[in-house]
Amino acid sequence: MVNVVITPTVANLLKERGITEANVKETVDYGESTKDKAVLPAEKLNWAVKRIGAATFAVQYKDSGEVTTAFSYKVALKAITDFVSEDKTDWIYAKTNEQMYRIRADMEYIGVVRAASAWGCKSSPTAFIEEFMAIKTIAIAQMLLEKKKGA
Amino acid sequence: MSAPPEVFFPSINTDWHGHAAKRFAGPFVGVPFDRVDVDPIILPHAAIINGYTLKEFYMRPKLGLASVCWTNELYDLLPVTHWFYSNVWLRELGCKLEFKETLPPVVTGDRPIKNPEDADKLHIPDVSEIEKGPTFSGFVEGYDFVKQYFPNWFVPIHFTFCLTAMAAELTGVDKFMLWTLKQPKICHKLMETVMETSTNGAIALAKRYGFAMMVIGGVLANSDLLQPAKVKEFGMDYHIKHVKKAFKGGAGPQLWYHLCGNHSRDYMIWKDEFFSPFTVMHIGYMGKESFPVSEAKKVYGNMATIMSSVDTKLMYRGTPKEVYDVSKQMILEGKDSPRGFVHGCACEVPAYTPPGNIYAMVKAAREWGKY
Repeated sequence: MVNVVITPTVANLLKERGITEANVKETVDYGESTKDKAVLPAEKLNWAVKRIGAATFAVQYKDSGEVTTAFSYKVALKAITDFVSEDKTDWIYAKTNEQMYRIRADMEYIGVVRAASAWGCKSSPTAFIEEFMAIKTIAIAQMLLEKKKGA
Repeated sequence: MSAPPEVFFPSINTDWHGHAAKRFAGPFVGVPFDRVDVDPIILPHAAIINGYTLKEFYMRPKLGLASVCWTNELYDLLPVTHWFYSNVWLRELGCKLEFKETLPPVVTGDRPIKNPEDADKLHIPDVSEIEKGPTFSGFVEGYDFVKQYFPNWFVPIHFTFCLTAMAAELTGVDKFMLWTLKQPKICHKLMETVMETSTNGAIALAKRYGFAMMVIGGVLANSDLLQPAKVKEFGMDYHIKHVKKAFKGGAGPQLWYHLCGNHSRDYMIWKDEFFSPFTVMHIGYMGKESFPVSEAKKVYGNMATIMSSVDTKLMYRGTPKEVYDVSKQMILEGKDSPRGFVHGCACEVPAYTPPGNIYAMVKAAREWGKY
């Protein structure tokens, strides 16, 4: 198991984003124990994702256990629907050593299902939503969905 | 607060707006309300039917946006307003725009790229330079006005237009099309320059307003002019980079892909576009015919809200009966599309379209698009 290390900078980030250390540890433990995670060997970086309660948590951490970032989103993965194998990322799916590529996944939030792009591969049950998508695009989309649902 | 003179029109009916807002939300939240929504993509038509000119629409953003609000209530259309024009963000790269009496702004005069060597000399304006430029200033003039006087109508839009068409305008369309075969590296350089510039425009708007819906066209990148592989190479691949970078800078989450013109040979490749939870897919034509709603639903219905495409020539030259009949058929085919359906025109409704033809679209939606 990896010993999670949270620097003061990351601790502030977690606080800003309402993520607890327990969320981080649970997510990392899940990634490590199942290998349902992505890795970036050149940078000795890992990316674990876990649904905990009403949110999905994503943690990126070094092999040493030092967390580099963490973010969360409320939309839940419903199904991976399409694979765009030409648009590749350097991230590798740890369980099968496959290079990941862009996928399209159905995401559900407050009963609404919409599609969005993420990283993944055919062997992975997990959609790896990038940080910019999670903290900007998806966050605003969630807010708009809440507003529109109440319109 | 009393409205200043530049509000131009009486207050919008708030009951109507509330109803339209609920209807507009329907396709995106999976809770259809009232009837199929209608968006004929009204731009200068709104100014013209209210006694102003096409040129005034483009030169006076506040008037343009207010006239679209008023016209949307008049026709019972959308609860949001918009104002944009093709050839955006090109003045920042050295092009001159001419505002015409009867046409949208056109690029005029000498182009900044006269020969392949010029491509390396282009300067990509950064976000702070974009913020001082004419394109951003025009949008801000309009959106600040809407935010203040029509806050419920406010959706800041980053208009990308067509990156391929814009890159072509830097040197002239004929030359650019030839270079796609003979000098593809130069075309890529121009595409990259235009893409980065437009991305910085999106980031600047998102920085000012907190978000920015992106309207992205595939106008020159179509089946009449390019092979599907080239449509991908000089069109979609740049869309993907553009959207990712703009999203990283805070733009989105709404994406509207407007594939103008004939996409009979390339419409399948756009499945690989980058999608957000608020994506609309709108394809203009299959050959010379309106793109079939049934095919749009089959290919894109599970990925995005789809939009139909009444032929703009029919809107301009056809009778209300013809527009009504076509609309009825499209609405019946599209209204149950899984991620929502909006009834629209293949492109911006022609400025001088008879108002009766827009009413025919709405009447068909009321009678055949009920939920």
